[in-house]
Amino acid sequence: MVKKYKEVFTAIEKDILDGYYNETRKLNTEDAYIAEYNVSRNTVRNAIDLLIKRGYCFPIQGSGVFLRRKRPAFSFDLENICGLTSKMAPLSVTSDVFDFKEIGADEEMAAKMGIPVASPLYHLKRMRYVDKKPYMIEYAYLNKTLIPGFDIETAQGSIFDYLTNDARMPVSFVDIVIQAVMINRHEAALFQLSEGDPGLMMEGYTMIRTGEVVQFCTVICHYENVHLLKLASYF
Amino acid sequence: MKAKFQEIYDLIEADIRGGVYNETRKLLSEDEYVSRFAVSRDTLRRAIDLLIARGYCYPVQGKGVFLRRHKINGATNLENTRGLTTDLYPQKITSKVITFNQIIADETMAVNLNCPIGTPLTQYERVRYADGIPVCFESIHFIAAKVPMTKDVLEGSVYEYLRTKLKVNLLMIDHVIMAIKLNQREAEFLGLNLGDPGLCFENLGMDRKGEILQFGRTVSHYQRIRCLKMASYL
Repeated sequence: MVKKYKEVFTAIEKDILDGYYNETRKLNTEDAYIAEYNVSRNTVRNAIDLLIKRGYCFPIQGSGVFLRRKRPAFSFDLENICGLTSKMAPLSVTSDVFDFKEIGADEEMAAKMGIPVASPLYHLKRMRYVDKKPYMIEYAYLNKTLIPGFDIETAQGSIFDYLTNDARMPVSFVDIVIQAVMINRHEAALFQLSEGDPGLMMEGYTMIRTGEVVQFCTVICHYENVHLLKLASYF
Repeated sequence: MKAKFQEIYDLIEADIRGGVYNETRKLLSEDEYVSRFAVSRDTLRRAIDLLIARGYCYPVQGKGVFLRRHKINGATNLENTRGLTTDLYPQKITSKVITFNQIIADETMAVNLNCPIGTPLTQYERVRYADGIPVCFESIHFIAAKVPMTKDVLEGSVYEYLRTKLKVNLLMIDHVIMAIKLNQREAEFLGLNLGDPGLCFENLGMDRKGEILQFGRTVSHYQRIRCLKMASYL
């Protein structure tokens, strides 16, 4: 069941994206939303807090909640944890899976994921396209002990949605290390770039509520097509 | 004056950064902090909530509050940046000022800083070194009327200068992060070759009211700078 404040969040988010507030650059008052959605003040506040957290708007004491600047197209918002498919909507996201196998964790992977050496892992490589443009190459390691039912068909779609809805292992938090690298020959061929060209690399640790690492993923992004966005937090 | 919970936050944060919890990877219990700091449970919870929000730790129901990997081998933390001098400690950060000028905003800068064309700006470029090795090249524009700057400030941490001397809260920074090919000038400053990768940050710094004070572009050495982003799904 979707929580009430999430419903209100989604409704206001849609209005923001549809440009409903473009002239005033300002959200309506709490009272207006309470009347419009017939919910409590607390629910409205929770919804607005989430909009602030996701970088849509910011509060100014005594004046209201104001819209932030629009994000550049194709940008990857680091604040909003969700699959690429939801992040890029309404643009289409497609994947080519090259490699899918079960392996035992080597020492490096065991250390990264906090599991014993030789623990069973799923390993997959996939190329992801946004709006048919090459966007990123993913090298993913999934903890089989936590999600024994994962298979190659699932690997074609959103792993994030699979964890949330099918495996009941919703993602709690993600740590990402970002750096620039030179891409190798294989990556260059997939991106139609040259070996040694820049790549934006993200190493992501995906954790469930208990802090266990369900996925470790190295992502190489196409340097011309991907901008990451880190919006300031308003605490 | 600092709020009480902020003081408690600072103390626990200093302990985390100082490695006090490195062995257990776990904070103390609420009761232990309440008696140690002689504060209310409410104040303590606000402090811990902020530590969680800033990405230092995460709560596990019934078990306690555990440390995240808030620091990865000298990576700068996007959640809580305090300038290179603090982020890369204990490496010693030095700077070489390349340019320092008072200029007026052209069309591009007027768009970047959301100010009228002709607005007076302070512009500077620096190369920054960690233990004598170049790590990044910065090109920064400040709105002159809002942030007075002098050249000698650039020898040290501009972040510290803003925070302690000007009392300007540049805590709100939007970053766009990308990989680029270095141009000739950037390559020379960083000791790399034309066309090598660079980790590029475009930063927009605002005050508490969302007013833009600064626009900067920093190109970092791709082998020497990494950054850490911690996201929570709450």
